[in-house]
Amino acid sequence: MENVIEKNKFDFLYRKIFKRLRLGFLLTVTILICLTANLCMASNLKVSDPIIFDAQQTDKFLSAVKDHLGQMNSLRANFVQERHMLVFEEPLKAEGILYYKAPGNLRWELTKPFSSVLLYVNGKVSKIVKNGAENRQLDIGSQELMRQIIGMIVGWMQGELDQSREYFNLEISRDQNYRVQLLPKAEALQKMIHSIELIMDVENYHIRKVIIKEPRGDRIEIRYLKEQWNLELLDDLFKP
Amino acid sequence: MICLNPDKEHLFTKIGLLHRCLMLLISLTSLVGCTSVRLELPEKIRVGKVNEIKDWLPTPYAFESEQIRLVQRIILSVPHREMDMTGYLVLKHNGDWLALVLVDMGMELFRFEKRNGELRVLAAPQGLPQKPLLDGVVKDIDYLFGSKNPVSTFGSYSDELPRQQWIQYDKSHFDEYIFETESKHPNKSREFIQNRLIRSVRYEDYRFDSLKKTIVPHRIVLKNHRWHYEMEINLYQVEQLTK
Repeated sequence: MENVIEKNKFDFLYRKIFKRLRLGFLLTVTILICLTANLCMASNLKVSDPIIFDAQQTDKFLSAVKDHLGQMNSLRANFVQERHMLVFEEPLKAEGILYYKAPGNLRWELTKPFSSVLLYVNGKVSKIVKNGAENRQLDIGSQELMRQIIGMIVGWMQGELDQSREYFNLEISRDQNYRVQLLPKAEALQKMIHSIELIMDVENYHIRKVIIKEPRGDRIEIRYLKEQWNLELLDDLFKP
Repeated sequence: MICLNPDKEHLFTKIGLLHRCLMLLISLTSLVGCTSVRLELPEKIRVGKVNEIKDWLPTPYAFESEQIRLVQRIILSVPHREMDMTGYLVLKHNGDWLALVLVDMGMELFRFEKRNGELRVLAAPQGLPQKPLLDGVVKDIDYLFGSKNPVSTFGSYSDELPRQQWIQYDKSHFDEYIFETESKHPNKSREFIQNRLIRSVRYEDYRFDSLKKTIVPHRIVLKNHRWHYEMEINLYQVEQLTK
């Protein structure tokens, strides 16, 4: 009996940890979607005085996203990720490259401080860690719940951004840049994320920065560099 | 005082390897509790000086006078699952430390600290019970990188080279370090409390650390026998902090 109780505690502990890991992945893909969405905005917005989008404009924006995302075949972008924390003077830095290939293949590759790759291909999630020339594919365990989440995310990537409103309130504004704020609705999510903010260039509407603000005052900033659209991406990039 | 069971010790000598393999098998297949492995001492041991342990401990960062930060990749393996994380470990000159564990996108998974000698969980996924964290990962970190305050140390030597070293904290709490090569740096260690094996560690890939001016292991593999997981820690960077 004691063994059973301990084993249940053990399973509970790791399920909790994996839920948090799935949240991290969900955010990864959410931001990728938002990155792709700025293409759609480019064709619908004009630069003028600062404005906050009303419900109608937001609906129009989401509709535009749906119309345009189908035209995107691929994306490659470098990213620099900085975590600003109250406990450190200098931010914690990481760098990497992301690749997306329609209709739903994703590669999120970290290059610094070390190499690791998160892959989502044909509904299957894989994680590969690199150590020199050695590649090691991690056994990330049962994927059923992760598949369900990513299934929804892939829907977003195909233009179904409306689904994000189930989890986030969207606030879109414009000053020197376009700013898209995603505010979590669920209390549980609010305890981890205050907001996700996308800063976009007014000239070409490319996203320049993503800011994830946390309730305690820490924040994560991700800058995208050298975005390249509709490249011919090798299939090997999406192989474990 | 080491609690050795003379009968068991005799049995080990008689049956030798077979018995040890059986014990290992039992330990690997056990679902709960620590591995019951008795600490065995050779006949000849030499008492050492407590203040000299920093000369051979594999991760002697706690003896630094400055505050430093280690950047690590952590791979946690539990049955049928593996996860990788980024670890930032700040070690303070008074022996306290702060550990941050991040996942993809820089999201914080855990934040632990040792402050004024007290181990604490500062951040963890909501609803996660703290006891297994404190008893598991937090104590693992403190075991590997925290300051040590033993009451005594002793070792066994071969041609003046250390083969094993022990650190004693109280009458039933010991760390054992095993030196498999002709080096003053250990390859393995084990922690015993009340004759139970709590955690065992392999230290690999020793390389020069310009900050410490000595070699330190860049790969550490810790097995926690109480909570049945394995944690691989790869060291990528050692930085000196001003704050």
